[in-house]
Amino acid sequence: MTRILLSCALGMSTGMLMERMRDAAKEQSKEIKVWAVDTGSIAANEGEFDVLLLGPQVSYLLSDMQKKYGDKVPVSGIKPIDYGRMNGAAVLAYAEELIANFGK
Amino acid sequence: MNGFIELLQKVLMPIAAKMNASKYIRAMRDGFVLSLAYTMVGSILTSIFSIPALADWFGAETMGAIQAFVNPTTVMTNSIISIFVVVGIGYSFANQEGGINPLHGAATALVMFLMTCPYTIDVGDGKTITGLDFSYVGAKAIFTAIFFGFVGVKIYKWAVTHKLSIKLPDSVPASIQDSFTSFLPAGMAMLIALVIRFLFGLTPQGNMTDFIFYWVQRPLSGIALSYPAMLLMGMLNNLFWFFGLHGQTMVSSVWRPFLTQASTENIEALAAGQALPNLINNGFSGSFIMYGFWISVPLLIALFLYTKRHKRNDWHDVAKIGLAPGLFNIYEPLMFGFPLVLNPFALIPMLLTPIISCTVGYFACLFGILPYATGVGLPITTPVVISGLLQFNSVTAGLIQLVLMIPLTAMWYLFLGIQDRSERQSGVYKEEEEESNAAK
Repeated sequence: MTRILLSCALGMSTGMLMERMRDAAKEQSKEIKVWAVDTGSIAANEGEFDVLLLGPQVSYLLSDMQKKYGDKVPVSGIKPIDYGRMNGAAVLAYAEELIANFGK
Repeated sequence: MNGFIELLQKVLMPIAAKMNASKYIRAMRDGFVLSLAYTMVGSILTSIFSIPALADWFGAETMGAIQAFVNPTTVMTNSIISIFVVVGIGYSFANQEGGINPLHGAATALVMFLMTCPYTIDVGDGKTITGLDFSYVGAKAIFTAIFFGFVGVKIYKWAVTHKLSIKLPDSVPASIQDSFTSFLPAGMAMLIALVIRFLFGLTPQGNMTDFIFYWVQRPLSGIALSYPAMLLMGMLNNLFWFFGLHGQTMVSSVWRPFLTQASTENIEALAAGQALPNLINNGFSGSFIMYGFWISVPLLIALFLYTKRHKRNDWHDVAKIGLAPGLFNIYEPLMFGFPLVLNPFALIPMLLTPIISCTVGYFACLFGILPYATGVGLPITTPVVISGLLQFNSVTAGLIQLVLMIPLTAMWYLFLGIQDRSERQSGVYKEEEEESNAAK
């Protein structure tokens, strides 16, 4: 099962995206675990996720997070337009693509 | 315009990155967040039961009894806020520094902070009693608390990593040796606190907190809690968002100590039945500058009105996605979906919004149309009108927020028109293309 962790300042807007991604996964009958936390809680979830995606508004944390987790799992920012449109399917596909290409 | 935006981006992005990478700023944020839930409960209860109309309905005596009943929620949170601050900062800072037990780091910071407080209280007639005057662990001491949150941890860590110890003969078992050395870092921190206490005792203010309050906190607060500073804060918030960065996180990491001090003073005055001292505080900042509804609500109304009269299905879709979160101040769908981020048409309305809302709110308070905000902090998702009601204990505040939505909506409508026309002319937006896309 793919485990996707989303994070933004308070975990609120990524929480909305999380719902959309669950809907998209259900439509594609995929088993995923996706959840959203505030950026301060990422560390508490270490080892629990296969990919870490940050909301664009906290993209300034990206290099920091890549340093911390980037050698174990893919860490990336969500594309602003997919984020704004709350495009769950696109972000899900992006997460899967990141995992598939990781370490290649 | 594009050159200007690029220039701003070059200036702001590194600031944002630096601010967030800074251990000090992150620890300060955590420090104030620690107290938030508790002070919020206390301040909400205090302000609700101080509504003047309640005393008219239920009688002053009944309300007095109820106030006395709920007062501990304020006194033991807001009035001792600096204890939360020093512990919160100490814990977070020790955690980030690493190599030491964060709880011990926080405790060291707390002890150093407390050791610089006066502990005799003048009760008049030349008599004193031993006790901790709340003002030395309250709003006045916030800067001292911040100082020791960092310094206490630094000293503790230095002592631990330098293996400060008493050398006992080798024949003494290691566990006995440890029992003699484990208190040394604490002892060193306390000795330094004693010296600090002694030195500040020589100043005219007589103690560290009064000294820092007099020379640092009060002058800085005068600047940070001024009308121009508020305008700057609001504009910086939206400017950060314009570049796609979480503005409130950035801005409040600098302003929060001052706003917290001002709010705490107001809540204490409210609980004591005195006039509120500070116009600008967390409540004012939330209700008239920082909450997301200042952008989301007028923009959503403008988008719905505009797409009713002009065909922009893309905008209509964004407004639909952004509606429910937007009512609760979450505007990421509008920021990134509409988008407002790096949209040159949106920059002017984004910068004008806090100028308009802050100015109206500020002068309404100044001319007595509005009471001062009570200092109640609310979750950042508190909607328009409700935030005004609760943070000012005043229906007028809610109404002013509501009425302000009219010119702000008109402003966005105007800029939507300009953007739409420009995008049609330049071919960025093509109606036919969208229809054929929709047909697919």
